[in-house]
Amino acid sequence: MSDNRRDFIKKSIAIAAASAGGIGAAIGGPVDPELKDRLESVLMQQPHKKSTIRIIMQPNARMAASGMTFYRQMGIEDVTVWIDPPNDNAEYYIGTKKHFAEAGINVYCMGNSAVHNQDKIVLNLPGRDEKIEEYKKHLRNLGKAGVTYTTYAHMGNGIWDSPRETTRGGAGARSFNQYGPNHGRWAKSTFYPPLSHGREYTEEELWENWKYFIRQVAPVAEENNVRIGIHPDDPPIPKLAGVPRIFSHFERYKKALDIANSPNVGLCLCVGSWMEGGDTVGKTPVEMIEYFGAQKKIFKIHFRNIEMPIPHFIETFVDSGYTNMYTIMKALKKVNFDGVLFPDHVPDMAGGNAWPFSVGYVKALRDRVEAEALV
Amino acid sequence: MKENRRDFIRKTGVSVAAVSVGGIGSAVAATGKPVPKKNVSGNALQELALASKIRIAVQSPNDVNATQTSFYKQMGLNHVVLSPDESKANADYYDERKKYYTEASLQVYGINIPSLLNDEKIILNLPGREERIERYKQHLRDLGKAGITYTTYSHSANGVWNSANATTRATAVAKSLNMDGEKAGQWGDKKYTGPLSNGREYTEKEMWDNFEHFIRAVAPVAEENHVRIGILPDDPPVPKLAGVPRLFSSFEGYKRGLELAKSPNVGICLSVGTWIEGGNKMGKDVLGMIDYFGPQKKLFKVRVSNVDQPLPHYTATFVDNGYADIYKVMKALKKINFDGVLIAENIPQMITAGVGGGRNANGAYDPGLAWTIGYVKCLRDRVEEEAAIEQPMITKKSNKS
Repeated sequence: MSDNRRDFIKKSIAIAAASAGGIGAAIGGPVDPELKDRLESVLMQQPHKKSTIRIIMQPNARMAASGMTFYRQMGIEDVTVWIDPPNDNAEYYIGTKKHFAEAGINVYCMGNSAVHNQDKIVLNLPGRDEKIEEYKKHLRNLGKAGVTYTTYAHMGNGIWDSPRETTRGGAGARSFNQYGPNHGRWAKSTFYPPLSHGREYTEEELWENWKYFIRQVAPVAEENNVRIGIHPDDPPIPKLAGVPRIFSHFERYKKALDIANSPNVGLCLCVGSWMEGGDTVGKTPVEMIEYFGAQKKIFKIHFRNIEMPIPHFIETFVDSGYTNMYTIMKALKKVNFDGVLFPDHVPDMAGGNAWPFSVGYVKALRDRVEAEALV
Repeated sequence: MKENRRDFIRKTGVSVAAVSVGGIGSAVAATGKPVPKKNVSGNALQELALASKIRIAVQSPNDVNATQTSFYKQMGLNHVVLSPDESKANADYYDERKKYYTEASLQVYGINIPSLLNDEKIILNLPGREERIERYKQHLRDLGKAGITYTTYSHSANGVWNSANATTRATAVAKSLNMDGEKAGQWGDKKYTGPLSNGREYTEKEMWDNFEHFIRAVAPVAEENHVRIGILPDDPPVPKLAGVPRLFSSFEGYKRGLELAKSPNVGICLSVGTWIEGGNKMGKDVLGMIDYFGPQKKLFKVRVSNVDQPLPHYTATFVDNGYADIYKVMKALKKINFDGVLIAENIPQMITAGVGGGRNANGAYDPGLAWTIGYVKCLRDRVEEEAAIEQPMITKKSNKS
């Protein structure tokens, strides 16, 4: 009932625009004719069409119905899920999509940890072609399930961390100290300096391997209507433990997309990773959005904040880092970003987790930039 | 160590920002330097949030523990309000609580005694009234001794009226009232039903006389003890319910009530959710109330929630999901330089299975509270930043008085 009313309120925007009087009308506020004589229109909430900037969560692929209800209560209607072997078959992809759809939740993205950040692909190790075939199968499975997006990362030795530190209120948070103890990790593998893979790799090799991979998978992505967003290397340092990290600079992203040469290959812009780089990554997150967003190359945003850039960063709450996250949201609206935004990597929160706090904050940012766009 | 680091970032963040040209930085008002007409850096925004006079608080439970206080601090909050049982409420207890929270870096903005702040003996002049007024005065003195400067009062003799809970977004359970359906009033353990909740029809004159008797007795004590009393609107804000007039249910009612009190220490605890239940029947809407009473320094506390529509039948909902634009409320508060606390109330019950925490556990980790505080804090941060951008020349404390 309340939902019907809300639709009704939205539809009556046009009426409001024509109504005389209240400030609400002047700035596009809705006046439901049924409510009009019971309201002072000045207070009315800005109506906005369903935003194309959709906030998502990342649940387990078989999340219980109660969890999905909780997401919808927070105002979330899209998710991203990971699928891990041995569940990486078409039936499971299709079943996952259906599992969420039944609760009114759209699966925007599916990942497969077995074909993401694979050193066999990134470093041309034995078994590379089998892995690439596995990736193609992943894309075909997505196609069969009607999932139109997946994130890919091209880190040869994973995501790097130092021991967790604390941020606001003593909350535990991920950290990385370039000059302290640190290590890389992906799935069940751990990587250590000085040489994670036995020797120094050249940037040239990495580019060759990228080209070999993306030129094979991009056509399959196109055939299956799947878009691939490349996640930045985290942290975006040019080389770690002997392995170059090519998604660590604006110019290198540009080059990689040129090599891919496919409308289906773009960015999963993790603004948190990008901020880690500070002034070493060529462009700020806002500038990245302005550049690649205008080209419709940004498919997904990871939305988090950090206290300061490398060499030593600590993740923190969205409202507590060195970046004003409003500027990111505003930039996304400016380029008419039409994808999902994931408030990932929240710090620990005493007694529970920090996702609800983060989602509330982020949703308000989203609602504000939408309302501002109406004025 | 962590705090040192944070201080360091603040200092460097601000000074670096002042000279930076790129996307990261700009100056903050607190430095005394002009703020460019563009967005501030994240560090500067934290400065603005810390310096904000619109302080977001949590209604903290009596048996709070370190996990809960950490939860508040992690959300970036620095203030609590407390509602102890009357049997416990005395100066020593207030003092002990204040020390407890101070150790957790939290300030106790106010303490209410639920069983005393809305007492029908006082409101309807029933036997025992004078003893209850004396008890209220004692409460004010106890607050004064503990250095706690705020408490809430309500003049709704037959409590807060609700119908059965209803559902809002994604079946979240929420407070609801249908004036034309089954409904009852409640305060503490006491329930009230129509047609006459308190045995007879009361006149508005009696109600005003009783309010005057009470407030004239307590206001001087509040002043002596540096305690401010914020009067809550009647919920629902209708002129009369079950035979009992509800004085604080319109702009005119508040105006008269505050004139009768005639004390700088008597003002308003403005419940946005209650006020918007009234729609356009209130004389002034929430924004009008803020614009009128804010500059008179009569707004001491604001409680934020939303409803789907005004009476006769409303259901409370999430702050982003009702008919009122809470951003506009926040903007109005900033405009009048509101310098009290703001709490979130009437949050619909979120499903918590698999999420952790309790269900609306009143200050314990609770996803609904965390989500709502996140949303509201963002609105607060937005209006602070907008003000810093709009008034770039805000500088160091002026020498003018």
